[in-house]
Amino acid sequence: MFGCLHGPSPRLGELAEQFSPLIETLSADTVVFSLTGLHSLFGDSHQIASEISRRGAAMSIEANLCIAADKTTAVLTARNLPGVTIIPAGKEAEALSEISIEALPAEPDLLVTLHRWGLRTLGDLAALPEIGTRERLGEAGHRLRSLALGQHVDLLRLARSPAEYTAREEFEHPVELLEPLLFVVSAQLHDLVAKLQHHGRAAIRIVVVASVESGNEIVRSMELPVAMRDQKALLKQIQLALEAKPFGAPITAIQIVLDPADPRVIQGGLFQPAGPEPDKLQTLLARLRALAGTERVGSPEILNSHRTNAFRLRSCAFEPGDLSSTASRPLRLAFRYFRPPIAAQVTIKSQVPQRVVFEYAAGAVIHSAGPWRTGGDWWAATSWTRDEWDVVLENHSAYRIYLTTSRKWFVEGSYD
Amino acid sequence: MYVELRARSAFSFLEGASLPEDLVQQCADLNVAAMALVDTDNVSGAPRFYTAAKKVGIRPHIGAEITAAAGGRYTLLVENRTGYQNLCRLITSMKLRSAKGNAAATETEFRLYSEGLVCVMDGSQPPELLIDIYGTGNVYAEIQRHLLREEEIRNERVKELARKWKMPLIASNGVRYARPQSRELMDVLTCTRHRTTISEAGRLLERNAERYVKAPRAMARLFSTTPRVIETAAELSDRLQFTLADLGYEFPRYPVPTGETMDSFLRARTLAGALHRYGPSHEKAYRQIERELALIEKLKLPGYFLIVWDIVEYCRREGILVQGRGSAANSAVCYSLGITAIDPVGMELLFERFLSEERGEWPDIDLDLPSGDDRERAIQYVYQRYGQLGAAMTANIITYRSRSATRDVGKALGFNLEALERIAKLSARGAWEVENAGTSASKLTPEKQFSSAGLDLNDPRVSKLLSLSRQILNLPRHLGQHSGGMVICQGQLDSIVPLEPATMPGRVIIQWDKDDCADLGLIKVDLLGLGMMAVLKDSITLISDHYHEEVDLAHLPPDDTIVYSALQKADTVGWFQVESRAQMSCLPRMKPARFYDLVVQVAIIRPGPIVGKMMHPYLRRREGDEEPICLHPVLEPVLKRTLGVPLFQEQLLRMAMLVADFTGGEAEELRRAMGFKRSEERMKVIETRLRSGMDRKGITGEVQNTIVQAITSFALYGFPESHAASFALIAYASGWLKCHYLAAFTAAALNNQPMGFYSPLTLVKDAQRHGLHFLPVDVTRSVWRCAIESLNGQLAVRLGFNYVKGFSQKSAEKIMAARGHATFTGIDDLRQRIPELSRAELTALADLGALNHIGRGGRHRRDALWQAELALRPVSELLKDAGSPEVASPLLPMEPLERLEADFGNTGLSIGAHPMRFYRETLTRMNVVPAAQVRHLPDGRRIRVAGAVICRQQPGTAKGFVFLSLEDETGIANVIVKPDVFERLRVPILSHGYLLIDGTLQNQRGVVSVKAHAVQRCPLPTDATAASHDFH
Repeated sequence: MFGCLHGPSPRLGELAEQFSPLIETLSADTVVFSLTGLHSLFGDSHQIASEISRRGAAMSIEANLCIAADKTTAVLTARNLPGVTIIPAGKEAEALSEISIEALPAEPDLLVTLHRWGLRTLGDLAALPEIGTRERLGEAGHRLRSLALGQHVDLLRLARSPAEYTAREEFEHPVELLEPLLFVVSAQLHDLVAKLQHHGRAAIRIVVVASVESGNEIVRSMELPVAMRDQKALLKQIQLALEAKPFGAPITAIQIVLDPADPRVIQGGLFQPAGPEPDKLQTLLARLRALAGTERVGSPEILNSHRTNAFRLRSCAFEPGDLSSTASRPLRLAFRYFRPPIAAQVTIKSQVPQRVVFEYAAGAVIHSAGPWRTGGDWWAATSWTRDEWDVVLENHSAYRIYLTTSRKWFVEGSYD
Repeated sequence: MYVELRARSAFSFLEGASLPEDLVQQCADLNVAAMALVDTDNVSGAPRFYTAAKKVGIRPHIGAEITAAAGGRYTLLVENRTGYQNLCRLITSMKLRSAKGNAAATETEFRLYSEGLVCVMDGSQPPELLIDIYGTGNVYAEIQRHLLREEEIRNERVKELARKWKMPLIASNGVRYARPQSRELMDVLTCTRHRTTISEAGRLLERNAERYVKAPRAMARLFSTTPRVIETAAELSDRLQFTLADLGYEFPRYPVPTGETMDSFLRARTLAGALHRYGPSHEKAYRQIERELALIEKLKLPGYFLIVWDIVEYCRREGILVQGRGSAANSAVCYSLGITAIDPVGMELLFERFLSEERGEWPDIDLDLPSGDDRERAIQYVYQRYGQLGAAMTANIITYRSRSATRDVGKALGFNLEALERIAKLSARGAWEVENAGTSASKLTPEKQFSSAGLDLNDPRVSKLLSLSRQILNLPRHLGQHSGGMVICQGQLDSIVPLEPATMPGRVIIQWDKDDCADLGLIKVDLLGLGMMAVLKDSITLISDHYHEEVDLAHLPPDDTIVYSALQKADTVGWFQVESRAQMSCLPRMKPARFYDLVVQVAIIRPGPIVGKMMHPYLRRREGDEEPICLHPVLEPVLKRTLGVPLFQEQLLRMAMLVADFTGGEAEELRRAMGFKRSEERMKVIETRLRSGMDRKGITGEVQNTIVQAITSFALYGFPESHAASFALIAYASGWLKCHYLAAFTAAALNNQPMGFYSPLTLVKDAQRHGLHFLPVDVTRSVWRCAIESLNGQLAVRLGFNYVKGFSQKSAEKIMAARGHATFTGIDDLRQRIPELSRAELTALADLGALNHIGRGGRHRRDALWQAELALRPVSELLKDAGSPEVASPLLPMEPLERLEADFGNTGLSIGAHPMRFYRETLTRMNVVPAAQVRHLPDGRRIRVAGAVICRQQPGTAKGFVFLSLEDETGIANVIVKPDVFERLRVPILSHGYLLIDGTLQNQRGVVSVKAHAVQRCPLPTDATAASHDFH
């Protein structure tokens, strides 16, 4: 005997669990479970249904319920007939007969054929001759007909919930300092890492949820660039994050949640330069972020743009580079960038710079080349133009100067 | 003096952002004396470049950048005619041997076609190779300065190579657009070319906006350290003597019998034809023929007429229906030669519209042929007769229109496709094109369109989308194939213009469109496919086979009362040209009673007369409500026969000649400007001339405005009287056939879909209302096409397999062949004998009832479906021949509505009762008036109509009004929806197949329509109907 619950509530599984450990979740809105052995506890099917309904009502669950001798009949009925339906054994076909043929789990092509045949309900399908149907529609058609007759045998596919890596600790007295808090966290991590190891997993994200005295919860989330399960490294990540951004209030409970991922596997190469251990590197980066700010730590990436020096920072990904390629670059005139560029005053005559004055030098221009003109992002608020000149001043020092969109001059650097 | 020797136009297709005319204009504005157009792998822009340059006095050099198979491009400039011919042959050679879009020339090809060309080296090709190919003195090194640091490195290298190989050094600006602001458009085109967005394109985009046409002073400043490079470029420009005036085109000579000249042969053919057409003593006709022949001989055109005559004769021999249209119908010679079917003498048509001495342009003869195989045969005949390199189709240069402009620019700017699709959908018709044509015909401006699509015009990105979409309009996007224009050449056409393969296999196109050909004096013969010609031809065959009568279209009774009675009642579904909703609503007012009325009818429902406000005055005068007064007394002789209202192109030409003293040549320019897509600026110039001419003659004020409006409104679409007459002939023939041989005409019309205004369903329902019976698709009777059968002594149309969706002709032929050997004993037998029948095909046949009569017969459709399903199951080798006796199916027969849905699902039409008939009682209870009764109700009455929507229209000339045609079992009701009602009820109007409409009846002088107040879905249990013909 099977029961099936169908409705919008997310707690259908919870309700089913109150009656049976043998549960199959078919979809977010349908749960089917075994009722074997419940007769001795609650009585006949009506009494079981009554009890399920009562507890469901107590949990504010609105759902259809069907009790039937086979699983698929229970499911089809619960999904298509409102309220509580109890189908006595042997009466399945009759109970199903008015249900629309659309309810069948059939391939679209097969449904089209059934429609062409003028079949509208499961009763229509059940009325077809068995051999004729099997001859024409094969096994798939026969299966549908069996479903329509309530004669299809199907077993429960029991589900196992995925492992969770969560630890929570409530404190008798609020904890104000970080050190005792970390002591607790360390113990929590010990258990969690052991569990991760047991399952052959690693953590890719740490979520720390702290309850404060006011009853509020403060959440800190730390994405890890590589999956890791070293307890010390994880603890250090948490420590640095909390040092950089403390909770600011006494803590009454702490919860650690680790998001699992497959651990990273690295095959070291004999001729590859040894890089830092990823775990240690992450710790170092976390320290740097704490010092310099999150947005100022990362790997620079040159942007695909004509804009000079256009780059962005992306999260650090340290892969061994091909060091040999740098050796073959031809030697060119060296240029020393001023970072940031230095504001300058430039005198222009006949569209050519005549004199340059800035913080470190001033003088007449004796040679110049330019303008080198670029511009871009015309479609955005960040549109820009830039006229660049190379100038040699009377002291024979060479500089690169440029004029911006806002008509301001800067010295970008000097030529060695 | 600086000249620009390396300019790309938008004809480089996504590699240039300005039209050739813009580049030339910029040269003229800045005093740049010469420019060389070097588009990528083509010379498509050359004619427009040449024509524009000639006007403003710029020297137009021709060249191209040719993609090399070994990588990079060769920049080639044409020095003389040999060079031009070699360039054309080089492009042809590489294009014809490569897949579309992948053409590249090999070193051998460069060598083979090198004479007369000058190569410009930019450092990307090895100089020694170029010198080896083109010879010392024919390779120039080139430097460019776009204010880019890296470019100077390249320039230094080029200078070094020039010194080393003793090549002259020239400067150019590598122009890609006329003005700096077009850099943005250039970037957008680059994105489209690389299929990326502007924010992703990065360094693919221009670094700055320096590739515009620069003033000589600016160029001199840029190259102030090496001024000689500019002088050398000017010297090279002096070397390039070729222009397109020196094309060397010659129309092929027609081979005449010994002892004859082309003149004498044409004269003999014409007079022989005239004897047949006019008899021996039609003096006026013979005078006209002599006049025409004299002019044809003087202009050395007999070859052209003979070649067209030859094509027509071929069609006659092969039984291909052919009729000349367009201005050729003004010619008595064409009529005598059998090229056209309109008697220009009898109709007093204007010969000068076709051919005149001062015009300096080839005449234009268009031939209408049955679309499909017959037309293809005629085209292949021309290819065979003049060789693959002697004849080719003209190109159709596909330009950006509002939809494609918004789509491409929007994609490049990173707009999501959903928003762009919304804009495109709102553009039910080309609102921007209308805006550009300078009329107020449509109120849907681009701004409104964008706002309606939910885009905020204050958003800078949206305003960029709008402005760039406007800029990109009219720029060429790619080359297509013209619908039928063929260019023929004496000798090798590929030395006149490059040829390239069309998308359609076996077709070759030239790189110029029909206007370019006309500009450069290439003669074109249009072989146009006309669906109705195929219908006429098929009808004649069916009439011969089933009515046992021979019909000669040239000798139809001219004043058939049945035909004119049908016209006056607007009973014209399926007729050529006069079947549209707008035509139908006009016919009861027009009441055509003779052939010329039909000519007017064909021409009057056009944007020209409607926008020019000519239609209603003409109709009012025809109905006697208005005096037939001319715009001005001087126009009396021109406008008398159209009751003082100008309707035809010829009239407008004559008007311009009369009121403003235009010469024939000026009038011709006016006509050309009217017909051109790119005519707005030319039209403005002509309008100024027209007005000043009228001022001189004292025609001023409102009269002047009315005349100008009449003339300029034809810029949208002017219809020549001769063309209208040719079309009217076909319209008359179609109507005559429909009135007298309904079965044959309907079967032929069904076999030549898609064509015309209505869906096959509407044709069927209309024919049924006229008493024609239809028979369903039947495996035991049907053939591939719809055919005629005798049913109880009457002829009926049997639907063919061609109406079964997804059914292949091959399967149909197999069935027909197998049926010829032995009748099918059952569905299983059918399946076994034709194993190629797919599941979908057999199931569709069963679902349609096409298997009901197979074998023992007496099945219903679901019986057949039950048996077909079994027949489709694979059978083991052992049991293959065993067969299985059919057993009765357990399935119930289909209800009438189910049969109807199966019919629509499988054929798109139904020959059974109209779906509305099943619900007539319910509809009557809801006070719905059947369509046939609407015309009997009084004007102004509140009314409710319902039916299947067979057509939704929002003509640009209708100021936002939407027209719907609703069909029920009794006929068609026309509904007018005001713009505000349409905006309010857009969703139901556009979403449902059946509509229920409340409104006010307008019933005036036989023109009947319902003005809608409320529109809702008609509550039928089915939405099965044919697809509506919407917004075409």
